Amino acid sequence: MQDMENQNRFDLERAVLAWKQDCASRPGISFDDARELESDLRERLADLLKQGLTEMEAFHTAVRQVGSPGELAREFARENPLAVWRERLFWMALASFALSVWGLTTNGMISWLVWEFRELVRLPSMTSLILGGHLPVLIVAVLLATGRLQNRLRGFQSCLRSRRRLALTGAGCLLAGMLMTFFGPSEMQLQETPLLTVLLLLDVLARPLVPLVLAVFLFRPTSACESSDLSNAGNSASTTIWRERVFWMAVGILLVDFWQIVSQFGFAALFSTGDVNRPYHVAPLVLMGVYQLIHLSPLLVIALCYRRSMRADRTFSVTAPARTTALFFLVPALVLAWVGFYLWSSFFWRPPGISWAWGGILLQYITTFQWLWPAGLAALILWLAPKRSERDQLAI
Amino acid sequence: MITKDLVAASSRPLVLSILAEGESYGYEITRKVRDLSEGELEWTDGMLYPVLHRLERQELVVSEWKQSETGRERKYYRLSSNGRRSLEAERRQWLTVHNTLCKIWKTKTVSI
Repeated sequence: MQDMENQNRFDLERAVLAWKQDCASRPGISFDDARELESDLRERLADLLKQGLTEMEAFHTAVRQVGSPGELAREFARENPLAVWRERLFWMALASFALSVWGLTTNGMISWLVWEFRELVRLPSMTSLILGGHLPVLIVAVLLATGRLQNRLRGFQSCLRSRRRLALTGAGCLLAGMLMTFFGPSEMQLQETPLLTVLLLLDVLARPLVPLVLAVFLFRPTSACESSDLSNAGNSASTTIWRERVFWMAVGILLVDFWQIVSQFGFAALFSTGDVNRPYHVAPLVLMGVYQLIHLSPLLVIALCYRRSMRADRTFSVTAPARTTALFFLVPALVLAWVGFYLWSSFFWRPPGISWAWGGILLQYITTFQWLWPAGLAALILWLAPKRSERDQLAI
Repeated sequence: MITKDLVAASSRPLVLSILAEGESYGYEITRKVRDLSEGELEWTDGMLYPVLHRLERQELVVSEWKQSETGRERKYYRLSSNGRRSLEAERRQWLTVHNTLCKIWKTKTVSI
């Protein structure tokens, strides 16, 4: 009786589509590959149904014969490691873009709220920026990695259905962010001359635009066969996929943000004159170009490596760094260097006339929760890094 | 039971040889290999498709989506002229190994 009920509830077409969707969302399996695997699965199904198996039995037998999406993905990745790196780079770029746009949209709003409600909430503005801007990002990352957000993000997933949709959504978000920055509450001050205003606009625009262009370039359609009624198909599998995606997003952001702190300091050391009227040695346009180039160099370097390997048909490892002692040493070291550089630069470039002591700067850094962002990213990376045993399965 | 290494090594000449007899698609290739080897060679999809895709990248085979007579979509593969040349070279190498072993085991050799 129970079997009969299960059989009645089993929808073969839906199960096949969900399986195909799961395959296509794995890095290393392209949409065309998934279509081919589906065709193979359907051949097997036809044979098994002819032998008299029920639809559910036939489906499970055929899937066992073809292989689980995870196993298939490993085999495909071994053949085409670049596809895996393309996917990782895509999520790094997308995360970097999303974070920039989020900052553009919310920073002004938070500053305005803090100012309006300064009587009610007595928080230093830096703390509010961290708690209102960075803490939600970390929470969203945890929710994504644990698979609690996917079903509510239908709209977000549909933006990833084609390259054009991604580009249009990205451009829309960017426009909204720009409008919020320049016309929203506590808007950014426009400069005195038109040239400087244009430069400022370009400067604000470049940071999210470069990762967006990179993401659009690297995009591969994974969800082309996604239909809206496949909501709870393969939930556990999509959690593993999302764990990996969030891991690479966090790695990308950690690299870009760490580098931003380091490059800001290096940049100021190289070009700053110490004169308020003419703060830099070089022309503003050159300055901006060089600054953006330096700032986004981690993503650009990874993209160039990817392109070179693609041309030379060279391959490199596709294993993710495992949760080993080395990682537990490396990630906190990176974060300590980040914090160190930040403190050093705020000590070095403190406003004239103010005598800050090291201890004071450190205390301010701790009490205003500024450590939350680098420490949160590090915790996220260490938490999501595959365990050694998991990595051995992935090892290629 | 044939070892994993040998299965992997022999997949290339087997695929090329099957395609030399005419165009075919993934499932049919797997089935043919299983039948011809009397069940000794059981290929998984995770093994077959990466091999086919590599051969395609090396321009030894060409693929095309077509509708079968039952209306199902299939990706058919066929040998290119490069593939034919490669198969000839593979054939010579495999028969050389085969004949060497035969001479040691004192069984019948084949002419290359």
